[in-house]
Amino acid sequence: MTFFPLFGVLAIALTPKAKESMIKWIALASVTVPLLLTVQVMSAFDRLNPGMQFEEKASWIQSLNVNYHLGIDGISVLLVILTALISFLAIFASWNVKKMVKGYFMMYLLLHVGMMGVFCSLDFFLFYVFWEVMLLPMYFLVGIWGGEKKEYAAIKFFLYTLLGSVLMLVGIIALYMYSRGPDGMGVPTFNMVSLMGMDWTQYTINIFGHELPFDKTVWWLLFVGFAVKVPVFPFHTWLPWAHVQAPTAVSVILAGVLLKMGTYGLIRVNFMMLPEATKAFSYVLVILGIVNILYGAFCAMAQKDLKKLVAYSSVSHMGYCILGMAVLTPDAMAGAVLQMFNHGLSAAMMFMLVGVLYDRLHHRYIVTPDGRLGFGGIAQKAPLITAAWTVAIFASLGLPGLNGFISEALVFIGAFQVYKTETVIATLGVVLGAAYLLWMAQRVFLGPDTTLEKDSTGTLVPCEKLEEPTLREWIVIVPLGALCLFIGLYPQPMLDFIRETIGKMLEVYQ
Amino acid sequence: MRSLLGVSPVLILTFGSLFVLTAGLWVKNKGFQFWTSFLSLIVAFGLFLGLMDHEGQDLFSGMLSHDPIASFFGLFSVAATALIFVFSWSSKEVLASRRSEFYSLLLAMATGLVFMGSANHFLMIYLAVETVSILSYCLAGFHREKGKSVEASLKYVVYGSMASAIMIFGMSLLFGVTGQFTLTGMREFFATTEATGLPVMMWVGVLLTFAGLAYKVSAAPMHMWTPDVYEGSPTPVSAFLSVAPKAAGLALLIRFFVVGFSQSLAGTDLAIASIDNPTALAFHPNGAFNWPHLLMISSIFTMFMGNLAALGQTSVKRILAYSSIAHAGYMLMGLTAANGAGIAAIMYYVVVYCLMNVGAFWVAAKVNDTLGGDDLEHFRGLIQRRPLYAICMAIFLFSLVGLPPMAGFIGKYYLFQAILGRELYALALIAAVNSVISLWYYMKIAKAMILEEPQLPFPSGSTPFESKSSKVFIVLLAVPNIVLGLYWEPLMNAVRDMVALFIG
Repeated sequence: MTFFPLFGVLAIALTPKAKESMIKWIALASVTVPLLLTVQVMSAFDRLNPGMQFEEKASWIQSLNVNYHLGIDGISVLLVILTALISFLAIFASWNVKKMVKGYFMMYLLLHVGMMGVFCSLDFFLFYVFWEVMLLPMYFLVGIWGGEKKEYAAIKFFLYTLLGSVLMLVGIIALYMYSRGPDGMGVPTFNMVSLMGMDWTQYTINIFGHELPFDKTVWWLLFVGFAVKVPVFPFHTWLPWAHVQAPTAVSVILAGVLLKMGTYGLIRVNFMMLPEATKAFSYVLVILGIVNILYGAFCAMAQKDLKKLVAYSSVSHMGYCILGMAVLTPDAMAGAVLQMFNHGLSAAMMFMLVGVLYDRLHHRYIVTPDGRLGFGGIAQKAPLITAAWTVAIFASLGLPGLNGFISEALVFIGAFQVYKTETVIATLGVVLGAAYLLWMAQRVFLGPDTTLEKDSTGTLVPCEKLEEPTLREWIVIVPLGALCLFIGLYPQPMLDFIRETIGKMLEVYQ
Repeated sequence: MRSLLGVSPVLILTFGSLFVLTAGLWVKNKGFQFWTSFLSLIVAFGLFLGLMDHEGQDLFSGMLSHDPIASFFGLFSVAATALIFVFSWSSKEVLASRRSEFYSLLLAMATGLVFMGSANHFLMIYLAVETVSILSYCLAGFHREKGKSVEASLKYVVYGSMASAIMIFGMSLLFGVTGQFTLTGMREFFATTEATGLPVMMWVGVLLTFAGLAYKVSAAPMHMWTPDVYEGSPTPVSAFLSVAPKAAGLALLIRFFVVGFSQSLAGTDLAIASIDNPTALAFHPNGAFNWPHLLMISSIFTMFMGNLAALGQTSVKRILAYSSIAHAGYMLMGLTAANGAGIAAIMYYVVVYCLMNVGAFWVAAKVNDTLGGDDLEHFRGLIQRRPLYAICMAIFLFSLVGLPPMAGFIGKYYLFQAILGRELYALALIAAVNSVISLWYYMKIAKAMILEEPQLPFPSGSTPFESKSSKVFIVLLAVPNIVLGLYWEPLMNAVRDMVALFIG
């Protein structure tokens, strides 16, 4: 499942450059197979088993005790499904790539391998390799196929994430070294499952002459690595750049899957391996989560660029995940994990729809630099696009009946039991969310028809005609919208996946 | 007789060097000159492998050591020289009329490098370092018609003679205090002398000798010559200078500190399974002088100097020069750990570093030969013109950054593990930040190659990129960079076995 796209990479590498449609079909096939496998895994998954399932293990580097070790539990299974689904759909969104088609799809599939690998690997070394493998294709996907300031955006993304991941590497090696036990005689291990049960509080480390508790120091090293990816304020500044400059399909993946790697890492590593430190810092996380929610929402409100608005709304929504995780109650944790999945769907849908508009009008100004409305009254010209947007907007702002509501409600219910004032402040985020999204909807879709388009000379002229989505675009939008609705009405199947795992994980905290 | 056998690889190299020089006067055939000298490298390599069974004794009554470190760095020097031979085969910067001289100088330099790896006596250390230095001056100034090449050579001479003078002064101080000329003798001296009674002059001597050796590995503060020399020298020579003397210098540093200034803890509780246990301190610094601290400070400065200075460069050769300074800093970290794991990490890194750095210089040389320069603008849009070279260059660059799944990552991983095992967290964090800084300038090259449109007109017709051998060579350098990043156990195990024997 993880490596199938790699065959695709090879197949594409061997395909001549000129056969572009063949390359696209190979790419489609290599993401379809993992999707089908995921469906099978989903049906075979034992929902009552809180541990790891579908484990595969083989020795890789014996002298380091590094293993090729894959497996999924209730938390990763949702993300695996999400990865397979979003990657499959985003292929359609990248169907009209024109520049260096071969390279694009090779990078795309490589990215797919990296993402799947991160969610499936149970060996810390392997995890880190996948984590980094994903950086390169991402850099090139943004850097080559992106918008006007693509180079700046790509290197900014790369530098931020690399800083996070080298700090994480130091943390990983430290954990590995200390996994030999207090007498230093055991065999060190990278096995993420065995690292979970260890008592780290007994060690201290010495930095610049200060004795620091081991687990808390390592917790911060790892936290920075994951926080960059989430992104947690103040590490978020790469995100609007990368999102805005990336081509549509890549923004879809970035918002849909990549951000979840950060929160997944926090749960899998910080929460599961270092519970004592997590307990100590949970209040910091709560505050960071609230800052993310409110700060992201305020920033989104001020944006004049449609894609940037959606990007900041991602920052805000990831804040709910952080908040939900930090309060350490089963409800909130389930809400946080579900929120990852839900945000993956709704953000992917929104970015896809931004792409739909951009492909037709060649600009993204809600308000143009000279102060006019860039869109306006799209509902009159293209009611179907507007309908799709409406679903995405309401899913995103948490209207009951759509998926965002379920997870946000769970987060708030769980959080309110522990931190009352803080939760009330956080709920402001929902109001703000409704405010910026509806305000955007009002300016873009309602009102008199003032839609502009950028013509071939780069000037903005009134738009004559706006086409409805093509079949290819519907293939992406409809499944996402349908899933949003389905989870909103009947979230139980999804919650069943995660409940046992979360229950077991939180036992440590009682 | 046994001693003569021990140095037989060097004898072969010397013979090869003299033969090519003499025969070159009559036989102008490029292939003949190349293959005869290459043959001596192959024979020397084979002899090294064969002699590995006889390790353990000193040669010429303590002048040279014949141990795993000497064998490893001997093998490495010969292999690196062979790589540069292949490198120079198609290079336009090595003038056809002077090929035999070039080969002869390279072979002679290989002898110096081999001696640097095995020297145990101060005099031998000095002679080996000087042999390498003097030949490096000649090679750097090989293009004597070109101003920059001559400038490089002159700068090198000035810095180099200064550094050797400092080093030999330091050695004389050491001799004055200990009365010993050999490193093994010094170890015995320390074993029987009370450390507190030693005069300060002794540590001044260590410091000055270290300065001379740091010059060879281009570690701060003795790194200033590096960018100018690399930029001015013909590209094959820059590639050679960035790899082989650096490795040999590291070998000398390892031998100097580990043999001369450490007390082996083998057999004591502290060294239990020292090679498998990276937290163990395998050797105890002798006396009051904590040499790992000296190395740590030098390594931190070297990393920052190299990486920060590289940020603003536009010439790819200069970027690679500063990057080679930074890499010297990373490798010194391994010695800071003062244990077997650290030394093994250095040895692994040296091999990987050779592969990626020679590869990067190779692409720079091809660009230089085709477009007449190696600035970033010459690299622009390379992917559209010669995708194979651009992709291989990207692999080398990512390997230099240390991104998995490239071999450079594994090298860095072992260095990090060695210092973290010794609880040097601050150093590890500094090195981590440095890796991020280095990403910026490596990506500047990658960005120019892959993201930007070509700017300069590309000569039509056959260019140096087209040659089949060049394509094969570049792929042969790029593939191990990935293979060693995915499965490195055999090489690492071999290196660890050698280190285990060495520190025994």
